[in-house]
Amino acid sequence: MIIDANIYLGNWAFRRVTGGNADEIIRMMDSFSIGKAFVSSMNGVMYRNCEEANIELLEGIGNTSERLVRFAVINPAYAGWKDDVVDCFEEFGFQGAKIHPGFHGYRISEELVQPLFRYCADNDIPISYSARMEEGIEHWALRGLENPTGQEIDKLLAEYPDLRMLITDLIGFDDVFTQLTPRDNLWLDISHLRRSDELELMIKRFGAKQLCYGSAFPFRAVNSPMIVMEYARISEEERAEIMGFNAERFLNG
Amino acid sequence: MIINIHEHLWGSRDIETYDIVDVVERYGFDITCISKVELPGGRFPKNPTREECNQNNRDVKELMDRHNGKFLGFCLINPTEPGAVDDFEGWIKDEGFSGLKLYTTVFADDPIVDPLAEKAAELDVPILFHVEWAWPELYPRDGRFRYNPEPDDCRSNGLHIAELAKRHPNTTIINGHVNMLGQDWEASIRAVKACPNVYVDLSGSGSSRGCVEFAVREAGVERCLFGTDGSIASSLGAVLGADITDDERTLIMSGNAKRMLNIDY
Repeated sequence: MIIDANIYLGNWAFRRVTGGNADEIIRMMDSFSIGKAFVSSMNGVMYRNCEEANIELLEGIGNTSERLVRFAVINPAYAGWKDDVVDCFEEFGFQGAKIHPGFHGYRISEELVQPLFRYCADNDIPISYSARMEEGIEHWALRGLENPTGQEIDKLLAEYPDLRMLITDLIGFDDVFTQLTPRDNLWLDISHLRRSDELELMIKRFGAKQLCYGSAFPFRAVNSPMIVMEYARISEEERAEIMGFNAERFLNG
Repeated sequence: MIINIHEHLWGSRDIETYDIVDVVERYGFDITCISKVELPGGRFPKNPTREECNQNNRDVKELMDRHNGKFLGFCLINPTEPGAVDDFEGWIKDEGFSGLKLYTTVFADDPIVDPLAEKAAELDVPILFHVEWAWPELYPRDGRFRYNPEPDDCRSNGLHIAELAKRHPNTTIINGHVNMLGQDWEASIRAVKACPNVYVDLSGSGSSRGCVEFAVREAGVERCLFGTDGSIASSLGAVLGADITDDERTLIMSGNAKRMLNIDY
């Protein structure tokens, strides 16, 4: 089964982005034979209280929930976040956490936010970490937006070896990519790769088992990562791993 | 048929040493327009010398000759160097290049570009500009991107392009890679909307969904060009996945470039 590990539902504050609703997401998935998708709220990136975005996501997904695996946007630097965690993972059936440290104004190395990572590690909750949604240079309101460093991701995953983390939206030539250490609890999505040879390089560095197909739909053209896969000179086994098996392992351990 | 309006012959950067010949074969590009902007050592100086530009153009010429018909050269010229117009004319008339590549030496609307723009109109070849639209005061100069721009190098945006286009209505100008990651493609396209002699190059790593549709709507499909600029899957995916008609897609993938470059086959 093909799994898209990186899809957003909702609206975006800085430009018109169409297709961010359950019906269009399912339609897109059907057109590309995608069986399941990991979905988080686009609105949760910008809302001060991202729990409201998670509630919107639940309302928006409706009865498509078997194919749309819910990832709750959690801001561990915001008041009451621990209640969000209890609600989302113990009551509402979310299966993963989505974090946006840059937009939410914290760094993953801060002591303040470590309880989230401890909770997820202890409770088998995978974390999807968006490396970038938009650049600070794209809008005056985003000035000061900080991107992650590979070193801080490395340090976190070394400290929590039971924590499973997927880094999404990482562009192939980004410095973060070259700073990351391959490890069993780190996965990377391919949504922003520019060429198939970048995928081949990533396989050499991280191993095919640590890469997940992801599209960043509706932000990015779904055809792009599909073309990366289509023209990649890789084995059928590697292809199957990237297109679905790895996402299952990230999700379920 | 696929005509790629924007690609490069790279040099030494470790992540960008993809083989352009392998690329065009792997992805099935029939014709690829190519320039070389990088200097030995992975340098992108603001002011390459005349000889550095000509050496780069000789490298492109060698590629063109080796793969007859698959590559069309766009010659790199530094407008501030002596002999700029003569060199440009020589590369087009004597060496069979198909266009002019201008990079970040000066802004597109700098008066020093005017003689080149006039010559381009006379020779009936387009000028492909490196264009960006990052909110200027925020543009990162910390080397986070793989290439390290020099302080004060001149990264033209759509407004610079529009100014030049208005001064030279008979010159064909290509607004380069609007869909580059981190760029405001809406601003870039809107800035040149009223300039019928400006084409929009849809290449870029952004692969932003909606960009192609926006360009078709704002600039008109006949002014939209397919290009890749190193972001092959991103750029191809954006056009192939765009919500446009098949006829529009064909125009973007080849028809408009054929017309612009006077290609008969």
